[in-house]
Amino acid sequence: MATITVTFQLNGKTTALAVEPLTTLRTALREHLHLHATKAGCGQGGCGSCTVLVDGEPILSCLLPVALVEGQSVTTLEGIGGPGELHPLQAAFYDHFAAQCGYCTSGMILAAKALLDRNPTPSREEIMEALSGNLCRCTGYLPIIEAIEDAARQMEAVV
Amino acid sequence: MKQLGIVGQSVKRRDGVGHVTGQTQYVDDVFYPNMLWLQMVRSPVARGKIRRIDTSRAEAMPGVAAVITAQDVPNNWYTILCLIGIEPNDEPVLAHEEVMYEGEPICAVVAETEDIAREAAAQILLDLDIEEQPPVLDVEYAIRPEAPAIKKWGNNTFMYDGMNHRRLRFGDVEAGFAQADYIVEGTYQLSPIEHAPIETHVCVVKPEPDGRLTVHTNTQALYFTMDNTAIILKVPSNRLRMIGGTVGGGFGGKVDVITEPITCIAAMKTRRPVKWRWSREEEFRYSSTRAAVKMEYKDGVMKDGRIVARKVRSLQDAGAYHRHSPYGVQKHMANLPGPYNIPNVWVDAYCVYTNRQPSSAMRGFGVTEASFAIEVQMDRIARTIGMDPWEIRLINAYRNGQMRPVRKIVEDATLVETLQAAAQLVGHELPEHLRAMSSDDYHGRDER
Amino acid sequence: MSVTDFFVPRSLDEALSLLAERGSDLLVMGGGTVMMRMVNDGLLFPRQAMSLRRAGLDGVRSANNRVEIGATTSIARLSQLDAVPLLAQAARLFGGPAIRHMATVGGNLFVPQPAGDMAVPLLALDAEVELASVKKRRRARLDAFLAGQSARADDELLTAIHVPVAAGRSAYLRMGRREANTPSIVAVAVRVLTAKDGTCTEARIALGAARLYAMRASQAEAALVGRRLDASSIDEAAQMAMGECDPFTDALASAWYRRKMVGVHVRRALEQVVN
Repeated sequence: MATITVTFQLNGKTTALAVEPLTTLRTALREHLHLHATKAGCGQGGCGSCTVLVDGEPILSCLLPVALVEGQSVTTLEGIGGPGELHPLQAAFYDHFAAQCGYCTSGMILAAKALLDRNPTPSREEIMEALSGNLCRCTGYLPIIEAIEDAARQMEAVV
Repeated sequence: MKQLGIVGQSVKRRDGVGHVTGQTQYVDDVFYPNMLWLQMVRSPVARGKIRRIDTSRAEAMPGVAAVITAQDVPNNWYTILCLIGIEPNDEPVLAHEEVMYEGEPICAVVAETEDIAREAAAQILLDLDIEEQPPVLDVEYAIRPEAPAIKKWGNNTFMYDGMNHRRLRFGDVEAGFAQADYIVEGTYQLSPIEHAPIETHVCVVKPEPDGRLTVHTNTQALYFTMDNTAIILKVPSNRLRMIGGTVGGGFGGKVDVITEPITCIAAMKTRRPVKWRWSREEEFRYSSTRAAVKMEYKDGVMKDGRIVARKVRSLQDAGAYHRHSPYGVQKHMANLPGPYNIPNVWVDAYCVYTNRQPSSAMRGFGVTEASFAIEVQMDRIARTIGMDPWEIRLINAYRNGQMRPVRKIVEDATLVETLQAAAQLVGHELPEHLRAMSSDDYHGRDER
Repeated sequence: MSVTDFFVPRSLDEALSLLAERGSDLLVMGGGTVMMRMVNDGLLFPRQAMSLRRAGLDGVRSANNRVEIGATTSIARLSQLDAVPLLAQAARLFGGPAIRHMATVGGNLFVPQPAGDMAVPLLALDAEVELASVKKRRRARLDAFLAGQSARADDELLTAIHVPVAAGRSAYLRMGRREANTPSIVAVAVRVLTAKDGTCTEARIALGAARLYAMRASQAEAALVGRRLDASSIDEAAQMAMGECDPFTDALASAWYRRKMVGVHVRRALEQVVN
């Protein structure tokens, strides 16, 4: 089996991998690096559950060959906060019951983070637009939108 | 009143922190050393006779550990409702003589990587020899005498007590229609609905040194799954160590026992852990759905709004196999008259088989569809006779002490009160005579 | 039998050499949003693949009344392109946020309808495509390229799209089963030039998902020239567009419905231009 090596920043740490040439970023994260927050809901770019941030932009990791993040910085849900030290978005999703089965949650939070990082005071329409590539089958979306509005307020208050 | 500790409080989810930090474990997060991957070869046609399954080229591919065919399945029947007496067995775990729907599982490849398994499965598909037959795809056609019988008992319906439909007979509908001031008819139908959970079906099985199998599955029904898997594997259920847990969305789509038996057989045959996860395409096109159903209503209605007769004919598309449909149609039949007091009721409910993706459970299956038809029909009646839609419902809502068409006396009815409360909540002022109604205002005595 | 090579050439020359060496065995990807989906779903089993994302083919340059858009310019970049508002409008309605960062305008020109949205505004803008091989470069009109008359040869890569700076007023509409991240039931781009007295001197009506490839409704366009844009002329153009398209049925919509939606959306787009 042929392999390639890829070196990139992952959640702030330099990471080097040897993988098969066309391995996707999603497979690299989940199966080689054992970071399971990023989900495999489809492989078609349709559900958004594999969303991660690459150089701050939302990217569908199921469609990106990991070779293409060479030299870039990748952020997964594990990189923004954990139990005991939740990112305001994570805390808001928890408070607002914005996760039921939890499978869309990672993608939703990172899509929201990408939005708030460039637009700290989004309107509801802008939030919905930023989430338009992420599907949820459980919540009906409203708790998710409210959580993001709340997180935006919290994050602005701290600044 | 006693102080309540939890009821009435807002309680945060126990799995909330796990979900928002990505630490909740799902079946696809389970990996074992030395694990193999499984991919299924599926029928490319809706109906056909299998002439030849040639697995030789696939088996020769580097990295392929095994191919599982019908011969490897100890008891090659999946009948989930056998546990409540539904028969006969009609769905093979793996097809070997015929295929009855596009996507039906035929054989499975187990390989070192998912990519190799996929490619080997694609090769078997190319080498597959199936003689296509004209499929039956429409429920109305399926129940006509001239339609080809796709089920081995000689017709295309589930047989209930020797009849090809479930029937409800209460009073005399024709007399009811004769006495009615209006006849209101409506046909209501649904296409199949796919649950589309964000998490697809996934199963991981690890063979244990003591001969047991550890089964990680995202089934919604762990005991159903254990029992049916044991029946298919012909092992006592204590051979199976079932590990369920968080399901990434079920909605009724993960209550059939489809992934576990095959993954178990693969683990037993290779003596290695095996993972099988479904693609989104498989989930959409081949996993079970809510049934498509066509419901035809004919109601006899009096000028004063009372429905005096209701006749319903319903055809539910079970797809190729039983799954939960024989039970679903029975439930459906009982619900078709609706929560209304109608003295003359006639229902014929058919569970029809077609060469389509099998339908099965989904969120109140059998009932939700009926509610849709009933309530649209109630609005149609209201429009036809020129009555307010709240009034038509309050007049006809069943009361305590009334006999329902299924021959049960109504007890603990709250429909009237719920309608009244709903009207208040949306700011709709009900006239006095409707506000005065209650579920206890029936003073007759219906005999069983 | 897995992938043996994944190339990420750093220049067009490197990409063209690889292509010349390996020919059609080499799976070429722009953003990869369509190809990788096919690989993931087991519809393609490539042995070698190449991404053009680092070959220096992205970027927008304006010169001499033309805008030159590199083939691997992302849809997200186009959504900010003030110099070509019709294109920016279409880009903003394309896919979802992440897809827009990944998909490339050049790659999208190879995507069959109903997901090849970007061809629609580009047709209305009289765009040309530039193709290169190790031997030569050439240009082709976009409509000829899409119809197959000037298709990419096996040793060629699409390198750029040339868009004349657009005169006139334009509008873009698309309809899907959802608001975002869904292929089109129909997409419409119109561009109209009018003389001082209000009569139309030139018209472009481009349709997506109305035929196997994006097309211009040339009879509908001709029906507008020399007339004022009013309810009557707009209605006639919409009817003609319905007649000259050749829609298909798929899981999203029937041909019958697509044809009706062509009429509705051509009318709405022209009304938008007038108002």
